[in-house]
Amino acid sequence: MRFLGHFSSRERRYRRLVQPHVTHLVHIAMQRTGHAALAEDLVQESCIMAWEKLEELRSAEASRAWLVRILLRQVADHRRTRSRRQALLPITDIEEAHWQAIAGEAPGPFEEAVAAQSDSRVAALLRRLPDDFAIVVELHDLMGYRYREIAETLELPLGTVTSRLARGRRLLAALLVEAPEAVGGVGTPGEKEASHHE
Amino acid sequence: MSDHDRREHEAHAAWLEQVAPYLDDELSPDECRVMAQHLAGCEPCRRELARQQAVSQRLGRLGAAAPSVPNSASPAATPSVAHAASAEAVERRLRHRLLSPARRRPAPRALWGWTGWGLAAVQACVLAVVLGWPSWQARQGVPMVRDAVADYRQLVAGELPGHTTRDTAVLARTLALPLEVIEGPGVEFLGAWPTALQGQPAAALAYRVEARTVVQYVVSGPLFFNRASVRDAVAREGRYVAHLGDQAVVGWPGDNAGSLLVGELPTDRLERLRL
Repeated sequence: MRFLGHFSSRERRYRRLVQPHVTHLVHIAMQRTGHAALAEDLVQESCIMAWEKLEELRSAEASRAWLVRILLRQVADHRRTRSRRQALLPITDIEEAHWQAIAGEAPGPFEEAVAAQSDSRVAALLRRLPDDFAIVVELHDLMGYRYREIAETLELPLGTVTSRLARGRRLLAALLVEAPEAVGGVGTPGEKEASHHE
Repeated sequence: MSDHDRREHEAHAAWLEQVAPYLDDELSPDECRVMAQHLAGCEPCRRELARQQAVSQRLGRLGAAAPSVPNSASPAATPSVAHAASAEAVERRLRHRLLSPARRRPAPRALWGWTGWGLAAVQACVLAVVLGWPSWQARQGVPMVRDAVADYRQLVAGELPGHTTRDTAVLARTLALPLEVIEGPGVEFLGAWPTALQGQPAAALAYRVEARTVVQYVVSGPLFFNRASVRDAVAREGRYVAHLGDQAVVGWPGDNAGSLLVGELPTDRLERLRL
């Protein structure tokens, strides 16, 4: 019963453990989906799930990572069931080209090309990365997580986080220096093998 | 990539895996020092470092720049402002779904609500009894005074009892009450006799004042101070005054006793009698 500002213990717990992180969840959802309304819907569903599972959360320190995991599951579920499948990338070919490039190219042009990219193009290409790589790159390079925080949030070994971050940057680097029309054609479904390995 | 290059690359893979943690300051000081020494002599690792750094810095600028996503709250808003606005929108909707009375998992309020109202009703009854009992009693008057006035009315309707005495000393000893006859101008002592108020022994002393009969009832101290209204009045004003119909009553304490003077006279006249 609510009476003159009195809240139930569940409401108090929700306000203490979930509400402070909603803006952060929106940030991640925006980056993951590229669509404000969809991001808000996914965060809202995540908060409702958090409300219903609030008893599972044992400490305030773990609340942010717990909420991010819930959100990422929501994003993945949404992609599986409702949105178009993510365009597949020829990861092996891209990485092969990367290794050849760093073995022979002169420093300078790549950095200049990356710096010249527009924000919208960088964001769009980032969302083309496989989810496993993209979320690690986003949490680290956009949101300032440390490796250990990413490992705790995604419940991954530290080595996996290190590997995914490096590979995600390499893939993005390759996409960024592709010509726009070529980027648009890369990775259309069925073109190349899209599997990736740790 | 030739087979030789591939073998060289695989042998070099362990170093390449250290490039990102080196860039991100995630290596221990010793690991960092070793990696820096390696980088000084390895051109491919330096290029890998430059690429990782270029991408990381570009993404860092993206994180700090205006939102590039479509449908954002405001195209000119910074990410933090846009995200905060979206978070507020989410909060507003959640308040309706979660924190409003029609939320998904309502608390079992009905049982507790009725229990609460029931407890409140019981408390109200108890309070009414506790707080209302004294005022109800006050409205009913002091039983000792009611008995005295009833006795007085019977007396003035008839004649004095046959066993009156003017020797109050004997009566005082008999009843173990201090009896002191009122004397004064215009006051005629008619006689005294034993009686009872509230079932306890008392003495009645009758007087003729201004052609009217006035009776002084002397009772024990415990009976006199039995009621809070009498105690409070004596504590505040030194006497107790009441009116029952045509009769006025003035009471005052004595030596382990108390007197009630009852008569059909004004109370100030009765008070002057006792002085």
